[in-house]
Amino acid sequence: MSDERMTPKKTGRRRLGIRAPLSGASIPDQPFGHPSLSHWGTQGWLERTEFSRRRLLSLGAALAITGLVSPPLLAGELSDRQRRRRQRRQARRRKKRRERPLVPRVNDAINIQPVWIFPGEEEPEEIAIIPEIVDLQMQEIYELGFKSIRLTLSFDTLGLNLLGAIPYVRVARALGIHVLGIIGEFGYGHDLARALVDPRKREIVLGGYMALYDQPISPASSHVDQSDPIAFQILNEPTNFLGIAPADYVRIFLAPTYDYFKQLRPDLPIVSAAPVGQNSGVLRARQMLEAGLENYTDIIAFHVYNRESVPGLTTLTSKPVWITESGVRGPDNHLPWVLDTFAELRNSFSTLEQIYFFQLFDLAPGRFRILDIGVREDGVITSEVESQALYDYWVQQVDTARNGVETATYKDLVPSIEPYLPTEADIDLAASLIEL
Amino acid sequence: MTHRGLRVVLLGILVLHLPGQAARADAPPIYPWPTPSIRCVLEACNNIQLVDFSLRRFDADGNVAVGTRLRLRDWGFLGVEVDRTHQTLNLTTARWGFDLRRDDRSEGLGAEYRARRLRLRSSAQRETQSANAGWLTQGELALRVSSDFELIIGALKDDRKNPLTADLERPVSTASIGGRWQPSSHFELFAQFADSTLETLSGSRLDRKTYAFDSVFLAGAWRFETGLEYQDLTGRFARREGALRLRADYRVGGHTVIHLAARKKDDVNFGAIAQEAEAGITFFARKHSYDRSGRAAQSTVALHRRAFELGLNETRGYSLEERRRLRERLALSKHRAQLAGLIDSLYRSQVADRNVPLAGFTWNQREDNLDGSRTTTIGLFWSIPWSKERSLGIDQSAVEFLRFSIASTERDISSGFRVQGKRLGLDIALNRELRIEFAWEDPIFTGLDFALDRNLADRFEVGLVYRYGI
Repeated sequence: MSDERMTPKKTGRRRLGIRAPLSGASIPDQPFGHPSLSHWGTQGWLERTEFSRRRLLSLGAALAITGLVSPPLLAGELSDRQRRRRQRRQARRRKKRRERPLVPRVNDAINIQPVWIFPGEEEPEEIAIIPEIVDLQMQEIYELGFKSIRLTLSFDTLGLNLLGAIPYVRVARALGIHVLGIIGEFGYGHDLARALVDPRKREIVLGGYMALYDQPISPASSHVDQSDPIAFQILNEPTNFLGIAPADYVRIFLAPTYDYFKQLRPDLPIVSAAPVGQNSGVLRARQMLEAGLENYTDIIAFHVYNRESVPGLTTLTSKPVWITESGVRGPDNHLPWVLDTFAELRNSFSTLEQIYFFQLFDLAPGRFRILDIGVREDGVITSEVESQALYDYWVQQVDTARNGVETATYKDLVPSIEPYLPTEADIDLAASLIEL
Repeated sequence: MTHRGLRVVLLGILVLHLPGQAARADAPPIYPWPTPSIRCVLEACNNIQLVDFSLRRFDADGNVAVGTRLRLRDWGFLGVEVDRTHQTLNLTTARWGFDLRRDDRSEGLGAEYRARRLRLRSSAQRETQSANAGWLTQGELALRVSSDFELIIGALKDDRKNPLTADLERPVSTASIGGRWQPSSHFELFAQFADSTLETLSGSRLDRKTYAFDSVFLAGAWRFETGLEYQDLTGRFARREGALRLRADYRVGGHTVIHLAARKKDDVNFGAIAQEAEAGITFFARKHSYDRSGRAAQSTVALHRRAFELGLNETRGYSLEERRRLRERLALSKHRAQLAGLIDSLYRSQVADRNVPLAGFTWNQREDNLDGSRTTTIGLFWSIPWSKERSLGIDQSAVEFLRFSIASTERDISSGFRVQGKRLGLDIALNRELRIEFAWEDPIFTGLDFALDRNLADRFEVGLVYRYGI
């Protein structure tokens, strides 16, 4: 990765209202989970959000002014004719590169986090998207040949997190990478859960999700297959994060959500929430199924963080299964986990379709992440591979499948992330959700 | 009040009670509100005798619950309990028992018959709001082999379709056989095997075999209770589960009892489903007596065995309520004159054996791995007994009078939430039979309460309870 690509366009970001990372040379150690991403209380529904329509609209205005544009052409350096010729040449070259085959999708799936705040920082007032991190993560996803990504489309602070996931989803879909979006909350809040049980709010919120994330996206190449729609997973580990008992999750939260989505769009894949990936997750998964889970989901999700729990999960259902999180602590253990445990999972579940490795990047060093992404004192965002063996394994898988054929690079396909950022319409929609 | 605050209050109570007065010989109890020391148990003092009355009011919903039970000469007992959503009517005679129940969701009836060796009990219940009503029927046949051993056979059949009140796993049929052995008041053993078919909410069927053992035994200053249950489930959600329950009480110096208890339910392969631990200490004004030791326990066994010799088939229990039930039922029998002395002796001995708590402290912690919650409760109480000496400490003449209690509960709902709540209580025992109870408590939210944004109000409850001959 070149430094040039990761050098932020500082002034542009500020003027855009796109959040620039604050200074800080390193990322402190953080506990596992969703560190510092949000920490709202449990008061009334949406009452405490400080993300106002005015702020959203100011972002919209800023977005309209400019974007992360290509380096400007220097006026007067070339004649108009020369400039037009050069532009045509560049366009032809770009088109040719775009039409190269895509990086083969040989690796399964991975979790990503739409990180927008680093430890120690104050929550920004405007939209929290760090374009360099989006670019960096999506480039890795594409070039490591992943078929699918999973990320939280977090609802808790609406504008900030909800819109923050948009560029990830849209870039992925433009590249033909399947997206599993978690309709959930980062901040252990209950806003979303309360919305799901209120018929009026449910309709508005879920309709908002559809409008924001299920839009058609122009494919980045003619080779892109966009036949799979986005899939929605309804909440994440509801007992662990929200204290909702397994049977209550199924009957009170999932069932009406599923029915609503199926009325709206019958072919939209709905994935149930997975319980935690330890032994207690087996007990909870069993209760969810006993409560009728299979009647309210298209795909059953489990998490696997220890191998002892696998035999307890394999016989529970004959419906399609996705392991939406699986990983192990310690970079040295990552590759053996993928080689051995993923193989065991594929052999054990007769209906297993996807395994999502946990995860590409988070803020806790030396545990689950593959990459470390940080910001230098001068504001430059840097990345470093932390789990080298697994990273090399994935690269090798791609190289083997590529078989010497030149493939389109990420930059060929996504020369700028600007088209994938939230639009004014998105911002207006998010603002309308705030006013619920 | 925080847990730390409670500990400080407890320490204060201990200091207050330490220099108690010397024990005195037993004397007839004197109550703030006088009552005859010997109650009329063999025949109605009047044609109709009030034996139970309770009136409770809950301010949270304005609900009022009233319960009353009358003795109709020597013929039987007629009881009625009514509140806003529940109504119960029951009738008990020497051989028969009947009851009718109705609430806002279901209605049911039950009947019981006791012969010399056999006891037959059956009940049926159905939901009033369900489209496919169906019935839940249960039956129990108990064969009393000897005064100390009873063989119990049970059956259940549930043909209700999608009942509104269904559990996640609902037995639709059960057959069970078990036995209760009570060779003395110091030892009791219960064992049971049950074979059930369960239906889950999703409609799956499971077969469950249950092996259960319970025991209670006393040894010197110790009292132990154990329970062991093993379940083997086959079918789609096959698994093996075990539950263990242990409780040990130890009496120190006659006036102090320490107790430790633990319960654990495990999936054999995947670990804990739920677990609970408890520890506590209680100080008594009078010399302490376990329910299965002392004169009252001996009188209970003697009365029960004598009744069996006379052809009366009764259940033996050692709590105050069970002893009263035994005395009441035997007082309806045709052999009541022969049993009068023993019935009277039992009542006198349980009054003489009364325990009068002075102060106590309890710590309890429950973890539920299914809903992810952990609930910790610290409670303490402080009593002011009534005695001739107006003593606040150790005093053999003491009877219960005032009891203040406070409990503080903390619940970790999930990774990010903790809720707290308190319960305050004041009980006034005007005499052995008449009490006034006040309780005020915060709601303790569950994760579902939060998720549904439920607005749970504080709860205040006041009750007047009268129990004749307790």
